[in-house]
Amino acid sequence: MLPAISVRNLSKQYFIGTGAYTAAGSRLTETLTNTVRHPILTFKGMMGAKESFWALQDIDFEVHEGESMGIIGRNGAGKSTMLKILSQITYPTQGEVVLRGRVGSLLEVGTGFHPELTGRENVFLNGAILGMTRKEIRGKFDEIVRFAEVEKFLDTPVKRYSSGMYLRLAFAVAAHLESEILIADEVLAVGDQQFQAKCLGKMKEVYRQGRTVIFVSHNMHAVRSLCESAVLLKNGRIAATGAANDVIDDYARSLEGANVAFPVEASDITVEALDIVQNGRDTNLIDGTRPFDVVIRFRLPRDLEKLRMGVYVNNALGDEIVRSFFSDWDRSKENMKSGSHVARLSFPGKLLVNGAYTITMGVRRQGSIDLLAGHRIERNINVAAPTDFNSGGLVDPYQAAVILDREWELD
Amino acid sequence: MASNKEKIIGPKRSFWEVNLRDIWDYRELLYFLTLRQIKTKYKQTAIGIVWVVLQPLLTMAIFALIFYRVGNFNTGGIAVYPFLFSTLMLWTFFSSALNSGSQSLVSNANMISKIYFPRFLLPLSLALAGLLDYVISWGVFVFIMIATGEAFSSWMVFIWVPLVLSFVLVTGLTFLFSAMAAKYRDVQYIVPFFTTLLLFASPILYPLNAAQDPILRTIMTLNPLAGIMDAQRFFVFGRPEMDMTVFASSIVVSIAVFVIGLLYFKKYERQLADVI
Repeated sequence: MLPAISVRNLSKQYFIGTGAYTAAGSRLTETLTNTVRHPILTFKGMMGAKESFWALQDIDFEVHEGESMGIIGRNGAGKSTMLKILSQITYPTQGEVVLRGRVGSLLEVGTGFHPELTGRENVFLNGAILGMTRKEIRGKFDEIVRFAEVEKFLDTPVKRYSSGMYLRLAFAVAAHLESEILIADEVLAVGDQQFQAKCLGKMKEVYRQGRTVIFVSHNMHAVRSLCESAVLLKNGRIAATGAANDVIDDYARSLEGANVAFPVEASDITVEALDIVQNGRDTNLIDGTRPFDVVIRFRLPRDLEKLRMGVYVNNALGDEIVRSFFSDWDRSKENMKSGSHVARLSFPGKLLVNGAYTITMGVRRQGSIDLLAGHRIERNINVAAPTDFNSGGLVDPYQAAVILDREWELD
Repeated sequence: MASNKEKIIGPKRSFWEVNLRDIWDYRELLYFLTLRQIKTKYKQTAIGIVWVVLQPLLTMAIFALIFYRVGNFNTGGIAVYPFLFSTLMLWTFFSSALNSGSQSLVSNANMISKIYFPRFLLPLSLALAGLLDYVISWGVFVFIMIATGEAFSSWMVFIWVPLVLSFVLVTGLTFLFSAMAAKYRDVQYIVPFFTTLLLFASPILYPLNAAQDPILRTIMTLNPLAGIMDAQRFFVFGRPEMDMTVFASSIVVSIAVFVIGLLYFKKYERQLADVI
């Protein structure tokens, strides 16, 4: 029996243009303005070979009929690119994917929803976008509406829906897509808690029907509970493959170590250091009781505007716990002058529970242009439990993501 | 459910391959996209569908005033209002399909980066939705004809020909422009300018025989819209005599534009999600 999904020798290459990823070419205006602003840089760029970047390299795996497989890895490991190739949104540079059976792909719920259209109209439109026929949608219509709990608002434009109702309806359509192969992103748990439980229940039902599923996530709990096998991606290559539990354990181990060679040079920024400082020295071992400093030293070759620059903190399971940008509380910090800078953030103590964390630097311009052009700048730290924290016995790392430096008042 | 379907996603695809099966599989999406366009176009506008007829009507009134009262054009004995409206309604279909179609990929960028579907359905659905407006404006046109005492000629049986040609031409152009706009946003500034240029470079507000100058003749022969508009007027009124050279050339150019547009679109379709 042939596998439902075969991925053979798959690679995807992106070219790094002027600070932005492009698979081919770049924007005319950008090319022109850059030529005017930086004639020498542009000239050099034209002389030198175009810098390229492999988002995926030599990926091989198979998924058998009825199997559910998780694809895991850190931000930038190639998960999204893999998902987009499997969904036929973008195409590989080399190799191929063979899909046997009707494919449904869910990278987002509510794709194509139009705010001016009513709930009913959007169900049909969204269903058609997902690849359902009108007959199929009509047959499932009542079930979809009941699941979404929007019976009364079917003929109301969805722009008048609450965000919860909107998401419920969007998920309900997606959940009733009957394909033999389902390719899903982790967006599928949406809405309030009660509805989330319902969504996960529905997802498990889908898995039990013996469909072939590929589930991409950095939520390890979800992968553990929904998938039998898993593929771990690291820097665009397969780092581990096998039973889901084993691969997840591998992944947790791989989060330790991994250092960046400074300075990291990109066309619009040079990052000299990402230091984690506690008690006056750079360290990976953090005492959870006390605050520590995140220090970024960098140089800008020119003035930049609309910067979103700062750090993300992810836990060992890949969940993003904290995002903190320079401009979070002060819009003027979106603009920075050329020259050397030191940015310092005092990170509060008694916030992170004990465990491994990754602090990743992010620099984007105008929301989407990654100034680091694919370079990853991150530090792995280990946080020890605050000494005076009364965990109440067994320390369960899955119990909570953060703790509070606050005390209850009791009368 | 048909399950013996095998789909291969690889780096290369033959340049000439137009996946007919895809078109068939996604016919219902085309229907719903067209419906979405029709339903949303005039929602939340105070007078809704009236805009469909108001646009060409107002243009007609303005140009009737400028060209035929201030200036002195010769309509060849046809009353000015139906003379202008007969071509302006086709022009309204053409220009709105051209402008919205050229934007269609950029304005649906989110959809393109989240799910697979044949991308050309977006510009195509806009052109199809525009057909409804055209049909509605025919109602107004019949009224204008009666009010001004003009009669339809027996050539009216061919009135679908200029429409089909405009449709072929405009879909070809939107394939080209929408794919270009995905890569170069500059196109969104060029298209409206190009549209205005085309309005004056085509015999929409004046008869084709007003362009006798050799340079103008060349423009009329090369501009596919010239023959289309000339034919539209001839099929309605039975006069002035149709210029067959210009008409033949517009058929050839329209088809050529369609083929070039489709090939360009097909070539860049697979890169869209990466560049948009």
